[in-house]
Amino acid sequence: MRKLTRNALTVTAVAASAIALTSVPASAAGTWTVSPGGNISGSNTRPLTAVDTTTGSPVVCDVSTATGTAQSGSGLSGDGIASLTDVQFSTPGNPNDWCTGPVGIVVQVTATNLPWTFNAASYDSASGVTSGSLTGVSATIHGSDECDASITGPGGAPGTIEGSYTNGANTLGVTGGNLEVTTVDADCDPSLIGVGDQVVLDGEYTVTPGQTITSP
Amino acid sequence: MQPTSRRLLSVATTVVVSAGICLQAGIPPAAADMGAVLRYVCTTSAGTQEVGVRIAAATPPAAMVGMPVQLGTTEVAVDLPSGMLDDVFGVASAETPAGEVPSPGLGVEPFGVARLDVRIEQGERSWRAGWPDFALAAGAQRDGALQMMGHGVTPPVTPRDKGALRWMAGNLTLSLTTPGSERTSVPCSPKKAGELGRVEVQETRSTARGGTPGNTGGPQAAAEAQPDEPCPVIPPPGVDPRYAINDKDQQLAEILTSPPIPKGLVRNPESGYLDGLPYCITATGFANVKKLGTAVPISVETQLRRGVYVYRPSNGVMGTNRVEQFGYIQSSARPLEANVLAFGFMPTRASSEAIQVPPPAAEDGKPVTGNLRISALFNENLPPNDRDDSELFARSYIQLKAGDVSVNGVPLDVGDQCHSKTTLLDAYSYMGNQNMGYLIPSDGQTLQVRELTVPSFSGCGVDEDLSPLLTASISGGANYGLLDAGRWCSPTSGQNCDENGHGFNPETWTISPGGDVTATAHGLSLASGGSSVTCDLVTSKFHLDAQHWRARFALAKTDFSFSGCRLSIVNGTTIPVDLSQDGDSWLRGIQMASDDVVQLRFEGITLDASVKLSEDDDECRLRFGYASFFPPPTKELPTSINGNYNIRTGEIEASVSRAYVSPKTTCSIPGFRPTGLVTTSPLVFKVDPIQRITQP
Repeated sequence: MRKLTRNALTVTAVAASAIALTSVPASAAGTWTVSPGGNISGSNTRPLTAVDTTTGSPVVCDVSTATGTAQSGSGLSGDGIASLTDVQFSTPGNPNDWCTGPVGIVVQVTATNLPWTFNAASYDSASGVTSGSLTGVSATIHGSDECDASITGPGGAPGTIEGSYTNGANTLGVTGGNLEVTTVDADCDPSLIGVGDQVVLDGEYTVTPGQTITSP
Repeated sequence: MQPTSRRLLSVATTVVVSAGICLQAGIPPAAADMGAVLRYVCTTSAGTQEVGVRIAAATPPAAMVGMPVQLGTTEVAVDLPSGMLDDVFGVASAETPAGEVPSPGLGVEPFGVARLDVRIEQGERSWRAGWPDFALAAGAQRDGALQMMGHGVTPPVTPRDKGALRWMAGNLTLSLTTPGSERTSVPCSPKKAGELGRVEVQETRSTARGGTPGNTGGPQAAAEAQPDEPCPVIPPPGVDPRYAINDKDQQLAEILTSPPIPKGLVRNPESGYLDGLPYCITATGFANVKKLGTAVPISVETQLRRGVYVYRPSNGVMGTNRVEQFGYIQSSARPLEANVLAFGFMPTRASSEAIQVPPPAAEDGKPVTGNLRISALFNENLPPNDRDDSELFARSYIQLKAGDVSVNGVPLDVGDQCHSKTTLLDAYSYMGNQNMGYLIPSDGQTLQVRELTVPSFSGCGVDEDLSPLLTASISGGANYGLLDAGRWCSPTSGQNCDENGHGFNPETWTISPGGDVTATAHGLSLASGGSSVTCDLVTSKFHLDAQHWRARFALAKTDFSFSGCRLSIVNGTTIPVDLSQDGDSWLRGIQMASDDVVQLRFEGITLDASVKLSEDDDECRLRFGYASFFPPPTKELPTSINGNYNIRTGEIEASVSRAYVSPKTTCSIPGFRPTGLVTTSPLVFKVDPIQRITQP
């Protein structure tokens, strides 16, 4: 039987998608232009929040950083237009600087299955917003109540997060996706997290150096 | 609810408010005896002497795994050879007629104390038995040797394995004197290792099925764990009826419903119980008994199950932001001695412990456990929408047991059944709010023992009834206690457990000189998008009590003030502004980073500036704090200032935690977009007067 725990961490997914820079083709068959491309890093502009929508349990990380690379040039495919090689989550000041879970629990979030790949899908030239998805996303979480759980896509396959990048502001917002809780151990409180629980994300990152992504 | 002042704790008691165990082990009548005659080599100022020691106690013929083994009253007899009496009592002892008590020179009887180191062995495991000191009184003198005798009740042992359980004698220390003389300490070593006795332990049916011995032991099992043994895991609901939520006893059940369960919460599970999470906690502090007017140290070890049922929001994102966790507790005694002035003039030394017992009206004595409730915010990253306070409630019933009493140095035999009637132990901890910050329950907390009534005593004395004496000197109301609990040890994972598998002692601090303190820093800057608010001076004023062993949480309420502040807008405009702290802010201790550096935090930081962008504009508000973004709309929360305080330089190197332009900002200022992240400058506060903070 279970014990008190915390809840799903989709924060990692949030961070990942936040960092991902995508050039999105204006149409399904479009190509993309990314400038300048190359090494990129990201830091969050607001807390990353992951919520287990089944139980309502939240996990909030005040700080998240990520590093990766973006393709550079024109005529690029939207698929794999960028990738994340490292993603970190913390709330400085908490015990161990772990993120804040419910009921006083603190949670360590670890991104897994790196690198994650960003795929551009569509571009709105009026607003300069590129929409896309981050794939290959998964994470493990460990709570101060000893609960261990994993977050992936359905059936244990790598998951997907949706996001949108805004030229000029150089910010990437993340939301939605298909993440769910795949495994929990005996220490996990079912009132806080359970297998099959859906997870939603909310977050925003600033990308450095700022990228301009258009399609074509 | 506001926290009660820590000045609540004043004076102490001989009554140790530790919840313990019912001393009746429930073992079959003794059919075998422990008996050993040991030879010791004792060292006095004149040399070494060989001393004979006899130990005798009734033992049960057999024992069961997980069930406590209680020896009968243990008799100790020490034969002091004639050659030793001179060294110890100072005068040569003439032959005393048989049957008469010797009078070494002063015409008074010798007396003393024997401390015997006894270890329990079972298989390859060995641990201290924790036997008490035995008060010795002079017996007969024969052939020049003086026999000194004593007796006492030794702690029960709960075996975790089957097989032989052996009591092994180690070193002996005699402390001998006559009234009016100084004590003579005589260390003694056994000539060879001696087994005092043994009991054969068999498996219970449940342990034979593969159960965990600690989980099948009675209430005694939890509390009788020896210091060297890991803290036991009390069983989850449904395993042992002695361990359960008590919803029948009115006093214990009261904390289950008061304060009321907030609306919008649902019970999990809908019916029945979860396993909950086991913890072991070590708490130390002071207690007072009004009649004695003396502070006495107390120490408690508690085992608990947390969250065997929970009330949580039906919608954790949009619902009532509260959680209620319920569980049960069982405390272990750490017998402590106290020296007090009974009736204000009698120097009295006594050991005492509190024993957790079932409620007075319990039909079958079950459950024995007390009730526990944690009432807190469900999500600290969302503003409270019901109560804000984080609290812990714990109630159990105890009896107070007194033993090893001596008055003015003279042992007073109160027997081994001297105890008070049952009384309610009501403990409470305030664990914070938005402005103070919140304590994570498993990080440890300060517990107030709210008004404790010490009932009358009975069963005290051997040849005469001493119960009225104890009742007159101790019993009554208006008694209080204050304990600090260390980090909660998880016995199943070992997290936050010491090398013996017990909870750590609390990390208390000592602060001096205390008093009114002013901390000042120069050059605050809050910047975003090219605009900034800067202040020449930041001042924090607070009062620190000069205290020993105080809790780190809620050190002081602070007053922040800011001077020389101006708003510099990205378009080049600069406007003076008045910046102020909105609401209460509290200083909180986090941990000792090193011998010289203490981590502190100012909680509850919300900054508010009144701004008039131009003569024609109305006044608007520019606010800074933390922000909760999900679910929308974004909500304002206080932020905090983290700092490292160097006790030698008196400086706090500080920085504001994550800060955002508050959604409550009404000004429209380029760069300061509401909910936008703000960059803050590091601050160095100079503390005056410099405070020395040490642990414990």
